[in-house]
Amino acid sequence: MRKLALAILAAVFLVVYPLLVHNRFFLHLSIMVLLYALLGMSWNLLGGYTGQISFGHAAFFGTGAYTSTLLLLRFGLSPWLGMFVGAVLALLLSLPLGWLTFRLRGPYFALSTLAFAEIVRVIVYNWDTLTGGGDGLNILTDLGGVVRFYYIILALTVAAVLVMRACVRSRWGYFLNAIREDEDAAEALGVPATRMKVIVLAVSAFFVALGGSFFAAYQLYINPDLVYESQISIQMIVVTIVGGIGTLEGPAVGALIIVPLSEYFRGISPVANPLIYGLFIVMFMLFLPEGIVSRVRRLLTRPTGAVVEERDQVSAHI
Amino acid sequence: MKIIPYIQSMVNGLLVGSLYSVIAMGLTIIFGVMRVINMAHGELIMLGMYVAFWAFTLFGLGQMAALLISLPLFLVLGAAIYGGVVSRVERRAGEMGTLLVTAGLAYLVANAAQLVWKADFRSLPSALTTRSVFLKGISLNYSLLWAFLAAVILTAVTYLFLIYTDAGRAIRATAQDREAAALMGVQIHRVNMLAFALGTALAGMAGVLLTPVFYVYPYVGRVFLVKAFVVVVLGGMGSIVGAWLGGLLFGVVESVASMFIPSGYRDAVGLVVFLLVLLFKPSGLFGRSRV
Amino acid sequence: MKTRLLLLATCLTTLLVCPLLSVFAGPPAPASGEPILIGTIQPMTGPYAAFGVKFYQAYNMAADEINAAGGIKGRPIQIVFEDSQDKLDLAQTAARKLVENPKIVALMGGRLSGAGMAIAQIAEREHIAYLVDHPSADIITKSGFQWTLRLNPASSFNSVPLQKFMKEYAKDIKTVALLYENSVYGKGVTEPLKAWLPQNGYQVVVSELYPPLALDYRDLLNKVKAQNPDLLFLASNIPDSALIIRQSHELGLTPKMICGAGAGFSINEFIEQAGDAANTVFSTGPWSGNPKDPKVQELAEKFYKRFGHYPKEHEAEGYSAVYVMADALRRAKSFSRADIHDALLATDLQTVFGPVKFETFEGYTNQNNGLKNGQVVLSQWQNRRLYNVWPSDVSEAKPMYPGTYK
Repeated sequence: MRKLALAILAAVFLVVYPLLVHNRFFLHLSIMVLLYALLGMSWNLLGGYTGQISFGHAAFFGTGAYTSTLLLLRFGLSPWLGMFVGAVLALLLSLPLGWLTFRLRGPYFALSTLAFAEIVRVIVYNWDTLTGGGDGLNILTDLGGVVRFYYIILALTVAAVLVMRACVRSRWGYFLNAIREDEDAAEALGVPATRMKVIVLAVSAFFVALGGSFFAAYQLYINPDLVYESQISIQMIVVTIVGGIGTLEGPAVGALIIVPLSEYFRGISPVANPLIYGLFIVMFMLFLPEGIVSRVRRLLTRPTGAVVEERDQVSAHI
Repeated sequence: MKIIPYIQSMVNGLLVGSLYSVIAMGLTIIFGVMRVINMAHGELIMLGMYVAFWAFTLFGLGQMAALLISLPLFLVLGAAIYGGVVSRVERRAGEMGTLLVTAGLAYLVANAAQLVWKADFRSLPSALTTRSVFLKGISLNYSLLWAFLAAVILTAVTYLFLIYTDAGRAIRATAQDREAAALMGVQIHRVNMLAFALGTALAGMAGVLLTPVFYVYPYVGRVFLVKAFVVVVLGGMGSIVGAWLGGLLFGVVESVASMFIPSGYRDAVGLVVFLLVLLFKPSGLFGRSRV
Repeated sequence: MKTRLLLLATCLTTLLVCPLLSVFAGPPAPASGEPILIGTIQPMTGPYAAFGVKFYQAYNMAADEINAAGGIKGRPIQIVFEDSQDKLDLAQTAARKLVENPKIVALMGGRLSGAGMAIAQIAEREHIAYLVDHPSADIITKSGFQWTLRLNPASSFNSVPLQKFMKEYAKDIKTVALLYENSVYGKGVTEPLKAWLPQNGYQVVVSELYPPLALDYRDLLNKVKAQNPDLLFLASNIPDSALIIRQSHELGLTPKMICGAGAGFSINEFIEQAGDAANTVFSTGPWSGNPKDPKVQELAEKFYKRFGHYPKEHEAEGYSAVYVMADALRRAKSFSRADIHDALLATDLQTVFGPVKFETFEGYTNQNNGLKNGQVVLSQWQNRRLYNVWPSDVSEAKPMYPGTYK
């Protein structure tokens, strides 16, 4: 009951937020926080819940960004519709990737996702008659003000939360956990591991692409290095690790911390900004690998007197 | 049909390929022993390149001196990274954890390098780097030739170390069968640290060899990381001979392929090879079949 | 407990380090008050920093001269630099930052064609005048922007001197290889030439759009060598231009003529990095002023005395841009952005770079007609200096053709 009340309060706050806050910069920050929460959650579904670490999600982000932008520039299709086309395309793109790589385990999978994303980037970069090549694409049409963007990303993120929640709270959630802990054992128990992985990758790709389309519409300029670069993948990863890998709220909490810090550093020097991603990943993996949300949860529910072995807790979430 | 350009292409490929071999060797040792993918390997190479660059620019030291400096420097660095970061994370968070933390480390190091040394592209004076000799119409760049030789020597020395020294044998034993090695009295933790330090040192020295040949800038590590992975997978994870031959083969394939495809897609060649190998022969040319 | 302490320590360290990092943030914002501020976006760091430095020197030299002579109605002009690292997204952020400062009355610069396009769009949206002095892509003045004005020639003008030279002097050229970088500049300069060549009886044997800032061009050049072209045409920035020339020299690539398209081929860094391999390499593109004009010679000497090298295309463009700005500021009804824009539109000035007048013709808006004014020339590196060699009325030396690239 208390949880429901809290959720409603949070929802109301989020909805009226832009009416209360008029500072453009703060609105920009909240948009970025929501975007990275969205991206992080999508990555987390595959990485945290299913245990498949992907370094290649930038491929889906970029696909979403380019699809909706090209549809806007060539056919005048509103990016708010075009982004769904992009998301479907990303989903379709994820299928051969899954088929190619899901027989591979652990580090091999991670590396192939990296290779895959690079290949997509090279193709987009060189196919310049379609994509504008290295110089990218500029959006000249007016797509609305900051407030409108805020509500759109809010809607997208809420949708993602609901979908993720449905995935992990259901039977699927158990399947994903099982796959993460020990894929062979899970298969032996009848979990359709490969099929689940493909589904999860597809859902993940879909939402990341939505995020990419949003980003393109917001920034009004994209090029292959901006949207296909590994930096996008790293950003998704860092908010998830900081917030709590394998938890639903983790990426949101992580985004709340990382985004303002990142913007602050960007103001000082465009180089200091990506540095903190690396720093936070290393620090958290060393000292708090389960992330903030998991740790807080443990503290709140720790039974009196019992000392919980850190090791077991962590492996449940990595 | 003129054959000379194709021969030139293969020669270039061989020379550059030997550099790929050295880069990959470090990575393959680390993976073979610990099953750890060091995503920061490229950044270690980048650091080696800067060491050579500053050694020359600030102190006038040549490549030999830079190599001698980087060996102990990177051995220590590797041991420190292993002891301070990798081993701890591996204990608490397993394989995935090391993957993530080394990725974070890579990001950290590359951007720290940019903060300190700026994003400018550096290179050694062109007088040193463009001398070449012509042999029957084939051009051979001096620096590349020297790098090729050095790479061969490094590979041979590493190979001999692994075969004939106790430490080397301990490394190989651990790579073959960790539990059995432990039962035989091998100190796994020490071997891990040694392997990581060795891999790091090879990366750093590869960087020194690369400095006269390629531009030095903070993000250059990323380019080499991908190539290193391709070679490691091609040659077989954990195999030194595989890394050496895989590097040469990859260099030649890349060079010859670029005679036929638009230059923009050159980088994709390696990536496609990588995916194909993972698909059809994940153990590579010489590696074990465990995936 | 230990974990929390360590986390706390990390946060504290990060917070303590922040102020230290501000050391790298660059010069502090200028003090407000008297000076009239003109904003510019240039690559101050990064692989193309060499170009940014030229504009830094040229702008400041011009500004110093104007201020020494009394400024604009008693007020000095001051150039505010923002670093783009020649990265398009950073250029955008930089432009937005400048526009948000109400004291900045106009924008200039950009350097990269892509950046120029991005800045032009922002200028159009925010209603601030943007004087383009170097970005050359045609599209910047072919998009109908009202708030963007360009004094330098558009890319498609750049290869015209080369075309004339091929028709009138180097008549034995039959086959051409084109290597151009994957950017608005590379494509903008090469595609008009690529269309012109077959229409005029030349054969294009290689045409490669290559990704810039690669580490090694040997394979690409080997491909070119296999086709044995008479003319090798290159559209590259520094450091690629120097690396390509060095590696072609190393591979023994010896066509009758190697011609670059300005940018990385018309600056001092090119000869410094490429050395003797660059001797007799040509470059077609914007000039650096009429060498027979005493004003131009005077500027060259002044520049050499202060900075240690002779000004070329970039410096001439930058220097003139500031003078064009100053001229407009003097004529403007007020210092509002709109009035300055109107004053710029009416410019009709003789500068070191040649005549500057913004016209609308053949689909271009507010473009200075460099072709008509003869502001594009063919030049050649001889004995480590760049000399105009064609057309002959503005030439300083005879062209050395065929070039000696051994």
